[in-house]
Amino acid sequence: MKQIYILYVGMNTGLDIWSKELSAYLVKLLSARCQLHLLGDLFSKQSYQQEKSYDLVIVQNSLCFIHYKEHLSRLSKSPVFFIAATNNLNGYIAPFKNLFGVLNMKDVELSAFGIPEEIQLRLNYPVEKVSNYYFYEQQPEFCRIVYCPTGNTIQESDLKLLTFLQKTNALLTIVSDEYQCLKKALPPFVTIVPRSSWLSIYKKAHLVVASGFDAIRAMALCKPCVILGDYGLGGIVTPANYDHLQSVSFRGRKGACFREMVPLDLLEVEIRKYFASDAEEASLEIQKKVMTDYGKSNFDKKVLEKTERIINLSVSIKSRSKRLLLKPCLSSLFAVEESNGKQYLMRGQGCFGEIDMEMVNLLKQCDGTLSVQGLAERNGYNKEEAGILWSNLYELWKEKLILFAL
Amino acid sequence: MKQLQDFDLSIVMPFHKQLDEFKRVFLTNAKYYERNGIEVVIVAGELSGQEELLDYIRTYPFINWKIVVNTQYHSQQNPAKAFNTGIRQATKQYVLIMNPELEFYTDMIYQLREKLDSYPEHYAICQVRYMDKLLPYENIMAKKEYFEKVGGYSEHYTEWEEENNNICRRLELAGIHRLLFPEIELNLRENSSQQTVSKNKQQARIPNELLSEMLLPVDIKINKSFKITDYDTVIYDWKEHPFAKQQCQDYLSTLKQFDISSDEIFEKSYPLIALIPTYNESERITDCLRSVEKYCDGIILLDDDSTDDTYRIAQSDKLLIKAKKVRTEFNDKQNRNMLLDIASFFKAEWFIFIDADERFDDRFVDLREVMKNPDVDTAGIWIANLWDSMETYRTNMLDSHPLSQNGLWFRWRMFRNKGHMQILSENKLHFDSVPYLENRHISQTLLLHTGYLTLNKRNQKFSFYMNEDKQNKPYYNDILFKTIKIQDLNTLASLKHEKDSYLKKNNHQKSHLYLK
Repeated sequence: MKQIYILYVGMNTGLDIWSKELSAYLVKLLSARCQLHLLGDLFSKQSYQQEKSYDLVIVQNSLCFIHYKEHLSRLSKSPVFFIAATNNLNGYIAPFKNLFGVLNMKDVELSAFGIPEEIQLRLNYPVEKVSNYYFYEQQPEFCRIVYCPTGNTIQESDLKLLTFLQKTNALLTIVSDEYQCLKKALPPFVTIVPRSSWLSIYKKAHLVVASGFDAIRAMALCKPCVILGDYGLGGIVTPANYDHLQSVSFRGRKGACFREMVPLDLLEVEIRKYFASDAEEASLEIQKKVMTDYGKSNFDKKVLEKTERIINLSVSIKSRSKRLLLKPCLSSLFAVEESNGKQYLMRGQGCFGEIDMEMVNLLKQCDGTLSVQGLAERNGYNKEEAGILWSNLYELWKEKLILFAL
Repeated sequence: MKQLQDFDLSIVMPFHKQLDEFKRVFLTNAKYYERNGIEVVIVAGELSGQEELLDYIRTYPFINWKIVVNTQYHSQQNPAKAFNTGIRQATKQYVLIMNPELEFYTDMIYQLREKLDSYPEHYAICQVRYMDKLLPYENIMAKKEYFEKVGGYSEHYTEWEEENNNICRRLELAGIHRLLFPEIELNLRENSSQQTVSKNKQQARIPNELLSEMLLPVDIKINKSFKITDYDTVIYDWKEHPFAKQQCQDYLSTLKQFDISSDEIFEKSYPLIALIPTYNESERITDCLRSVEKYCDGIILLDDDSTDDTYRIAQSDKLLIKAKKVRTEFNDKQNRNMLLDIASFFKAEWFIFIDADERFDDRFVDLREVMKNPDVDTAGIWIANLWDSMETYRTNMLDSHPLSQNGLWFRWRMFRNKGHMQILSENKLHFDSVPYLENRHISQTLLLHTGYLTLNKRNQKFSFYMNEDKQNKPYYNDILFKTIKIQDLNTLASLKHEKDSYLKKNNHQKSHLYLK
């Protein structure tokens, strides 16, 4: 079997901690199955080989297209699988010729920018079920609370949490690499540990205060979790509010604004809820939901299927014989608008110009069931015309107006 | 004061034995509520004191009042029930929740309403200045459908503050985002809140067990059914005009002369009322009225102090009111706005402005079809300028309206009644003769304009316009233009127009073609 070569290009700039952890996870996942070469400061080791051609190029962070422009232009024949891991600019791209797919981790609205939903793989950060670490103590000597800050809410959430906890018997452990610099400024009941030790710290905690992926990991361990993040206070997760909180990726309260103020008394109420009653049943129910939604095996399977499909599609497009067997299908962004008796090809707000009725009628037949060859035959095209048909469809594919089924 | 053509806004106020406070602030607030498309819904908690309230509001005839009594609502601390009643009774697209004791520090109504046009799926709030504090709550403006989406206020908290926080959180949970404008302020005077709990103490009073459900609600819709209840009794509705007869007489008595055809006119409903301004039109007014009475259900005529006998000879069975004002100068906008003032006393569905030198072309009248269309609020008509004879019209007359074509002028003239409104144009001459332009429709109705029929009339008109408005000289010169084209009116077979090509803006780039 042919050895698969994948190049993974990534830059640190603008990425959050979870994006970085995701890249480490993907490196581990892909390295086990193919030859994975790395390029960029997202990785500690560099293994990119300039003269090598790759079956797939994975790009995380759109700034790579600027910083590694020359490298990527040399690889213009390799299909690109883009990872949109943040909601910032580095998670956005425009459609381009060899863009074959996007792993959308943060609900980035890429369809508004010309990337159809069909080529996006929407996944959440994967978690691994370790065990049930739930335990309940109504009146512990010390309440072991773990806090995973995002780094964006030092003045608001962090301060409110410290203000409340210093009046209690809490021992607060902050899981952060960056917060080490504040170590001397914090009161004695606060300990700061590196992110690498998160698992052992979570296991011992009564309660985890976190957001995003950190919260998901805590819930996967069956830990009661209070959502406190960049979008304010979401409260303690319960089976009842799980869907609301999940819809904002557990980043805070649904409907909140960035860096929303946190009512101190409400934070206190939400944290105290843990100590009010034993909630193992609810925690187990949440753990089950988390494993269904974020389970590692599901994530691995979908990512590997997607990469395999991209590589196969790329091979088919390059092959003169195979390309005519591809089945074209209109993308969800494809639109034809009529004005003054003329047909205009549209994608969102952009117009690609006038398109004649013959082509419109032909495109209407592209439903993903008929191959390019079949389409040509149905319309009575000869070999040369079938070639023209392919080149037109390929032009539309570059703009993601047409997609191909294998 | 800043205006919108149609605020399309219901302002909901709870009322609980606060008439004196309300009167005190209303003196300055009234002008904010008298603008186009604003409805003020007052929800009172008890039947006593109604008469005093009604006596008070009838002194403001140009505010669209709706007074509802909800016998379930008795609390001043928590007016949630009253607000829910008001929201249910509101007839406009947007709703503003407001304490009746607040004064406008900035023009909050305009500022929030204007912002919401640019922010769909948002609710807007401003700040209330109370003593030395600014409190970011109490006044929510949002589409009525959003309030309905969350089932209104919860009604089970004891404090108003809790209800307010809770509905904001549920709106946000429903995907309606918050727009806070700290620079927009209302004022709550210290002495006006003696009976209420101090606002800055309220936060501390909220019991801890309520905090979570209040600030972190799980259910979006709190009241499963949000329909008008048996407890809601409407005792005054601007659409019914219960005081119209007296109010109209009071208004007309400020004019030079007036005639009301009968007392019953205020009781009846009229599908379409024609509004006719006149000035020295004795030669044409009778023909105009004969034509208009065929197609309209009522006529209101306002004479601008004619020096001829226009006022005397203007007679029609459909004439509801004719009135004569004092003319200080020529001001077409003022005349039409006075007609709108008078029109607002009637139960009418539609109004149409007709000039005295116009009459309907019986072949082209589709007013009833337009009125049947629920998606239309403003309609335009066509005008043919009759030239030299009643059978010919000029086909090359200049006009500034973009929809005018082939010698036919296009004018917005007809509009759905949405309560008292005024034309907001800055010009006193040449403006759209409708107070608002919404859900527009181009009708197939043709008016024949006799104002330029003879050379003598054209000379008079030219002199008049040149005297009143020198800015549009090229258009007035055209009245006396020598090279004119005229056409037999009978050859006009249809009023086809090219509105689509005008309304559709074609932004398409034309680049390369596919498959050629």
